[in-house]
Amino acid sequence: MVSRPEGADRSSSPAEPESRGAVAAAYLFGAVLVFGLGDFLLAIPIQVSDSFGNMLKLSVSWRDTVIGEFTQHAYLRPLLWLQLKAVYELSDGAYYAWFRGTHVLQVAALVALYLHLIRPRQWRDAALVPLGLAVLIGHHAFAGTVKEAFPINTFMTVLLGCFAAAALSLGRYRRWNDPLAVLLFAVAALSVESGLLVIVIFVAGALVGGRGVSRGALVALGLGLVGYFALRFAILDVGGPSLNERASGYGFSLLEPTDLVERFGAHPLPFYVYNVVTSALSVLFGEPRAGLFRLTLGFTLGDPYPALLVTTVACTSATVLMGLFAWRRRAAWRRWALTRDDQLVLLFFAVLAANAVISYPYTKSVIMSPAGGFFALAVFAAARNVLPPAPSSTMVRSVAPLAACAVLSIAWSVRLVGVHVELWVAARDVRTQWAYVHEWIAQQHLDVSAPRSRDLLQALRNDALLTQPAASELKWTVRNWLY
Amino acid sequence: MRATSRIASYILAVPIVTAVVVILVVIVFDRTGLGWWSHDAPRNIAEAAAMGRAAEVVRFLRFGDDPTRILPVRPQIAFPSTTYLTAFEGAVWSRSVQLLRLLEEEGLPLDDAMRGRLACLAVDLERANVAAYLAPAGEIRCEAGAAASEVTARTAAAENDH
Repeated sequence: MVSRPEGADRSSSPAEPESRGAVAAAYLFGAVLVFGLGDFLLAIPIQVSDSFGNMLKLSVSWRDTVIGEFTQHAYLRPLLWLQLKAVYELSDGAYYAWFRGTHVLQVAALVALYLHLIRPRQWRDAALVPLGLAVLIGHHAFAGTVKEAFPINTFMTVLLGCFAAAALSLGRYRRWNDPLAVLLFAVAALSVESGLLVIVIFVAGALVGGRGVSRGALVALGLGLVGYFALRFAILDVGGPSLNERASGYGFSLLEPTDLVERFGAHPLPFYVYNVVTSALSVLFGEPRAGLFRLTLGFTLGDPYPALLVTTVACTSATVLMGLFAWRRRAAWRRWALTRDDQLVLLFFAVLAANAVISYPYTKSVIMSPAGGFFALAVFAAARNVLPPAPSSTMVRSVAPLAACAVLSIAWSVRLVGVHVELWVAARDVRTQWAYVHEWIAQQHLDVSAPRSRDLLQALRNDALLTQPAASELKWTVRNWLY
Repeated sequence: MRATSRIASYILAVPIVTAVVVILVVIVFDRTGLGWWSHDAPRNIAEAAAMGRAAEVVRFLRFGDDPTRILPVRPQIAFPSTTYLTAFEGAVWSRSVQLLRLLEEEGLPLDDAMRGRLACLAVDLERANVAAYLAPAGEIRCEAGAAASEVTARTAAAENDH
C-alpha cells in the first residue's frame, strides 16, 4: 500500500507548484548530456576484440544463427545474437552507422527512462537532475556499458530492461503492461545472465507497492524463471561459470585461474561470498573495484591514485546521503507507508542485493551496472528529500551541510568528465587495435579467407582508420586525475 | 529557509552543469585543434611514426604518403629541435618493432641496405629491441654515431636552405 505521509515526501511539496518549465529544463539537460556523450560514443569505431569476431559469425543465415545459439553449451544468450543479427542485416554494410548509432540511441533511451522514473516536477527537482544524471553516467559501473560493445553492449541492454521494468512496475496499470513485462523478462534473461534481475525488479516493485503489473503476470514471470533454469540446466546443459575460466581480483592482487583453483577449488564458498560482498561495496563506496582494493593499496604505499580517490569520495558521499534519507524515513518504512522516493530507494537495495548475488562467480564493475543505475535513482530520491539542508542557528551547522553538498557535486562532476575521458582513450585504443588487426587475427587463429569475411574486415578497418577523424592523444596529467 | 535552499541548489547544480559545458567546449575545441589537454595531431607520416601512432600511420599511408620520404618532425616529438626523418626512422625513434612491421606490411618492404642503415640508427639511439628486430642475426656493421650524424646533418642542411 503506497501512502503519502504528511511532511515526509518533499517530492510533492505544496510550497512549490508543479512547473512545465522545470520538466522541460530537466529533459533539456538530459538531451544536452546525451548529445555530448553521443559525440564521444560516435568517436569510437566498432571494436576489434569482442566485435569483429562476433560479426564474422553473423554472416550465416537466420536459421543457422538460431539453431547455433540453442545448441551450444557455453552460454545461454540466444537473443543477444538475434539482436546482433537484426542490426547486422538492417545495416546493409553501413556497420559503423548502425551499430554505433544503436549505442547512442540506447543511451538516449536510458536517460529518458531515468527522467521518467524520477519524475522531476518542480524547479527544486530540476536543480537536482544534474546530480542524478551525473551519478547515472559517472558511476564507475556504468563506464563498461559505453566503453565497449560486442558490437551491441549487452550490459546496456540489461540496464535498459531493468529501468523499463521499474517504469512498468511503478507506473499506472495498463492492460498491455503484463505481456510487456513477460516479453521484457524473456528478452533480458535470454540476452545475458544478469538479465534475470528484471524479475527481481518486478517482484520488488510489487512488494514496495507498485501496481503496474498484475499478480497474474508475476506468476507468469515466476514460471518463466523456472522455465529458464529448466532450459539452461536440464535441456541445453549450459552450466554455470567455473573457477578456471578467468582471473579474478582478490584482496590486493589478481589471482590467475590456476591460483583460484588451487586456493578455492575444494571449497569455493568463501570466494563466492567475497565476490558478493565486494560487488555490493563497489557500488556503494567505489572500492574495491573488480574485487581489488586498489585505492587502499595506494594508501598503504603512500601514493593513492587520484581518479580512484575521486570515485570513492563520490560514491561514499552519495551513500551517506542515502543513509541519511533511510534514517529519516525509518518510522514510515516500519509502517510500510511508502512514497515514490521510498520505493526508488528500496528498489535500489533489492537490485543491489540481487546484482551482487548474481556476481558470485566473478566480479566485474560492468556486471553491477544495473545496481549502479538504481543507485543513481536512489541518490536523486534521497537528495530530493534530504536536500537542501534545514537552516541552523549555528554557523558550523549551517555551513557543514552546504560544504557536504559541494563535495558531493564536485566529486560527481569530476566522475562525469572522467567517463568521457575513458571514452576518449577508448577511441584512440580501438583505432590502434585496427591498425594492428592482422597481427591480432593471426594470434586468434581467425579464418578471414572467405570473401565476406575479407569484405567485413576491410569495411570495418576503413571505418576505423579512414572514415572517422583521428582521435588525439590526451596528456597524462588529464588522464591521471580523471581516469 | 528559501535562501539556504537556493544556495544548496546552486552548489549542487553548478559544478555538474559546468562539467557538461566543459565537455561541450572540449568537443568544439578538439575539432579545431585548440585543446591544451591533448597532444598535437601528427602532421605527416614521419611525425605519426615518431609518436608511435599506428592508426595515423596507416591513415597517411592510405592517403598516399611514402614511408621513405624525408619529412620535417616538429621539436619535442623526437629531438629537441626540428628534425628531418622518414617514417621508418620515426618508428625506430619510437622504439616500436610492431610499427616497423606494420610499415613493412602496409607500406614498403625493407631491402637489406635500408634495413642495415636503420639498424645502425637503432644502435646509435640505443634502441636495442629495434636493432635486434632489424638485424636478427646480430651482424650489424656500423660506424658508431654515423647514422645519427646523417640525420643531424640532414637537419642542418635543411635549416641552411631555409
